[in-house]
Order: sequence, then structure tokens, then C-alpha cells
Amino acid sequence: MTSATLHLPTPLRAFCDGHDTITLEGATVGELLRALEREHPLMAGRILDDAGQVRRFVNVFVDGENARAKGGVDAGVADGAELTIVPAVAGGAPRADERRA
Amino acid sequence: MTKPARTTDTPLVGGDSDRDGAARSGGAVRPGDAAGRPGPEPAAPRLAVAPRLLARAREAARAALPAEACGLLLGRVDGERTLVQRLESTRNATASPAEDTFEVHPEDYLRLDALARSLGLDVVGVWHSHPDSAARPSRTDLERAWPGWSYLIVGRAAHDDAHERSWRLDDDGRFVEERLVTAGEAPAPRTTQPTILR
Repeated sequence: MTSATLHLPTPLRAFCDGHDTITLEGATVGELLRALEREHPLMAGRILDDAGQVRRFVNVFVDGENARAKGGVDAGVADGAELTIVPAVAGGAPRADERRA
Repeated sequence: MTKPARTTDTPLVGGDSDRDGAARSGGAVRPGDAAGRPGPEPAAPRLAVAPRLLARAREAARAALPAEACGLLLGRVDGERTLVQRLESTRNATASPAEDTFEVHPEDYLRLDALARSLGLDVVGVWHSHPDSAARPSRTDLERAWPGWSYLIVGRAAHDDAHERSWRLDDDGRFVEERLVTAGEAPAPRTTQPTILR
């Protein structure tokens, strides 16, 4: 059975009993993320959306490559691979209407 | 992970500072002593950053003008105190006008996350600049914020009155200002209440 290590960002650790790294079994990105949800139910909906796809504001990197370019949740994962969950980090200055408010 | 050195903090802007570990109960009820006198205020969240790192953020913010600058904070969280040990710049990968939006390039995040782990640190927050407006989180900042991180903002980066403030989400998803302090010096008494953005 293929297993891989998931590295979790700080904002998601509260839903995984504080773990920063978890080793799970699965041959694709989707299998691993569903295994994560089974093991830590509070993670449900935080990386995968209702359709089972990786949410818009999250990226999953497999051994340094963005899984979106490799088939998304169907991307294959080699035994011993490292997955890093990367939250989209964004924001910006107040828009003109906000500054006037 | 290595335990951080114990230090005292000094406020950089407004607010106050408490001795490290002096009031870490964090509960809603203030502790008291045997005589019924109230104990110290519960520790409020604070971000400890060396002045040289803040200067680096301000310099990077000026260099990026008219675009926003952005990056990540690497360090450690110890109770209510977050100690920033590295302030790193990243590419601004926003697809919107970079004058009023930022997005940390995901490859830069990946690189810095690996760097943090190799140093026994974590990504503990985000920094970015507002070229013309104050260092208060915008609606966009709120919509895209993640819990558990500090959001350090360099406000008015294009102007002589550039300044820094730091914020984090509370349990209700509101931004609450956290005290910006520098490590290693004697604390000052509390002078103001923290700002909560509603």
C-alpha cells in the first residue's frame, strides 16, 4: 500500500489534533485527502469541497509540484511522497468605497 | 522543536506589554489572590518582532511601490505570544491590480514552509503593505484571512508616516489588534484597550 506524508499549515492544525505532519495511506491526492478526513472528521470541507475537488483557496503540492497541474485529486502519489497543503494567502488595501465609508 | 528563549517584550505601538508568562491563563475570568484582590489581566495576543525585521518590511514595501509588498513571518508561537524570527518577502502573484491586492506566490509559500520546518520554526503569519492607507485590515484582508496567523500590515508605505500594526482573527472571525512588541527589554504598563474591528 502506498503511503505519503502530509504537511499541514498552522491554520488547519486545530482540526487535526494539533498535528503538523500526518502519514496516511493512499495512491492519489484524493485518496489521501479523504483518508485525512476519515481520520480527522473536523477536516471535512476544509481542503476538499462538496464535489470532492481541492478548494479554490487551497493548493496541494506533491513533492514540490502543484497537484492542480497533475490532475488535481486524481494525481498519482508515489510511495513515500510528501504532500504540502498550501493555503492561498491573499488580501489587499481598502478599495476606494471602503476608504470613504 | 526547540523551546524559545524566555524574554520580556516592549510595546512598539500603543497597547501594553506583560512579562512573558506572567498572565497566560487566557480565561475569561481574571485570577485573584487569596485576599480576593484581582490578579493580572489575562494575556492578550502579541507579536514580538525585532525592529530590524520591521525595518526590512518597510524597506521592501517601499521597493515594491506602487504595488503592494507581501511575505511570510516565520517563528514560534508560545501561548499568546508569537515570536517572529524571520520576515521573508515573496512574489506578489495577484491577478488583480497589485496596487491594492496581494497574493503570496504558492511556490514561495512552499519554499518558505520547507525553510521554516528545516529551522524548527513554523509559518506564523503574513505581512503585507498598504501603499496609501493605514495599517488596518481591509474587507479583502478579512475575507481571505486564515485563523491562527498574525497579519502584520505596513500602512501608508508610500508616505512619511509609514507604520506597522498587527492583527489576528478572534473566535468570531473578527480581526483583533495584537500588540506589536520587541523582545528583550523591560515591559511598559498597559495604556489602551485592544482594537476590535466589527
